Amino acid sequence: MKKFLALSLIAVFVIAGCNKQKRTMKGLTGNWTIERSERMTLTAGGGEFTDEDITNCGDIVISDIHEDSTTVKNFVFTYVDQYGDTLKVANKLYTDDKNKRIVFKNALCDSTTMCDLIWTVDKSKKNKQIWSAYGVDTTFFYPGNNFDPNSANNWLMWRITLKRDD
Amino acid sequence: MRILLFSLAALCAATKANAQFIQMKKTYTGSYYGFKRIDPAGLNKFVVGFNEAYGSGMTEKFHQYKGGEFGQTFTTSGFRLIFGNGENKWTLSTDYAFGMGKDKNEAVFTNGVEQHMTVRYSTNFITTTFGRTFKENKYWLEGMLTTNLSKMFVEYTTVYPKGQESFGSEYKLNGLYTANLKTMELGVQATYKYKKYLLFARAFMPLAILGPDKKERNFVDERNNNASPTDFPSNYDQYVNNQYAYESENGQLKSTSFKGFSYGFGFIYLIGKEQ
Repeated sequence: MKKFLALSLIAVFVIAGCNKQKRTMKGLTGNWTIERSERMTLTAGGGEFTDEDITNCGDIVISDIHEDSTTVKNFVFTYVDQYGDTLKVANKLYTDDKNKRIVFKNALCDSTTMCDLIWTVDKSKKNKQIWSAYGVDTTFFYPGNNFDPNSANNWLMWRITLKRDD
Repeated sequence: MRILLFSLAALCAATKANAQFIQMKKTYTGSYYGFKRIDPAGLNKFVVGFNEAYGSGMTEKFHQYKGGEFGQTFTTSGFRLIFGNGENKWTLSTDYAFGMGKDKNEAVFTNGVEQHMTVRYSTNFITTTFGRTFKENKYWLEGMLTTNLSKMFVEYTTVYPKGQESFGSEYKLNGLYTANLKTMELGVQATYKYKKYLLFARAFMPLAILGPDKKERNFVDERNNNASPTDFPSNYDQYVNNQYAYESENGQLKSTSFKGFSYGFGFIYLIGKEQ
């Protein structure tokens, strides 16, 4: 009996270890309200200046592409800023093995290019998520191909707090 | 490998013929700490190049690697047989061990921004052992043949003055880079058995690289939104200033840097009644 229990325990650990990414992705599926959105300017001296701080300003719907899709999901992102301007985009969402990033594919676009919106995961719980995205100087999100971290004295941060609706 | 499997099958048949032939038949689980030597040249080439490029604006530079930073904590489990009729018996086992280790490196800039480079290294050892026991099965000495499936990560982030950490694409290097390496390794293990506990020391030396293909040994960030190149550099100067030379002269960090001699010490617990 002891042998059976020990072998079962080992098997559970091995199987659980192999499926961490699948579990992470499964936990994201559902309807989320953007409970809070904060946009800030960060400065070299350690200052934080709030540009926007609003509540209940949109939602994110994350769904399976098909029943056994575990590494990629569909998302619909709706965000209304403090001026009432709406950003709505639908595409695919990816994360990493350790759930460090959430990548919204082609979530931002202008006349020449489509860009991914890369969120850094600050907090990831069953019913609450906090994600942040950053920009350099006055350029939000778009990849600037910046090499030198010492060349700027201002940065932008957008932090959203999500609450599960279910 | 086939010879060992045939031997195992023959042993199973022998078990039915003569129960006394098998002295011990046990599953086991345990843990050990493994030391590892890697070739730090690829990582250090990046560190030196990065520090040279931005050194005048840095209050703390990335440290160079010595090659011994990637010690790993392993959990191991497997199945072992001791068999034979003489005073000194034969022993063989199949063993699986999983280990993880990491090293954190930081650069601090005069504007208060930091860049963090965490190198994580995980190992899967799938091992067959075969050897002799001595002194009434108290001491064992074995050879080991191992397939080592390794996965390496470079987590590169920018940390802003108030501590916010970003994986985003606002700085070129930010990202999560992964690489794989599969090697065949030869090892030796010495064990002391006390009741149901085993204390052991083991060492491995890589024999051959089994994969992946040479072109697939870079550290790649598939999710990064930056322009090419999107793999992690070793030659930082070429990465920034001469992309053509970077690619034609293989300026990327390679997973083969992580191939190297390793050794470890630990214990194992034999599950079930003492035999």
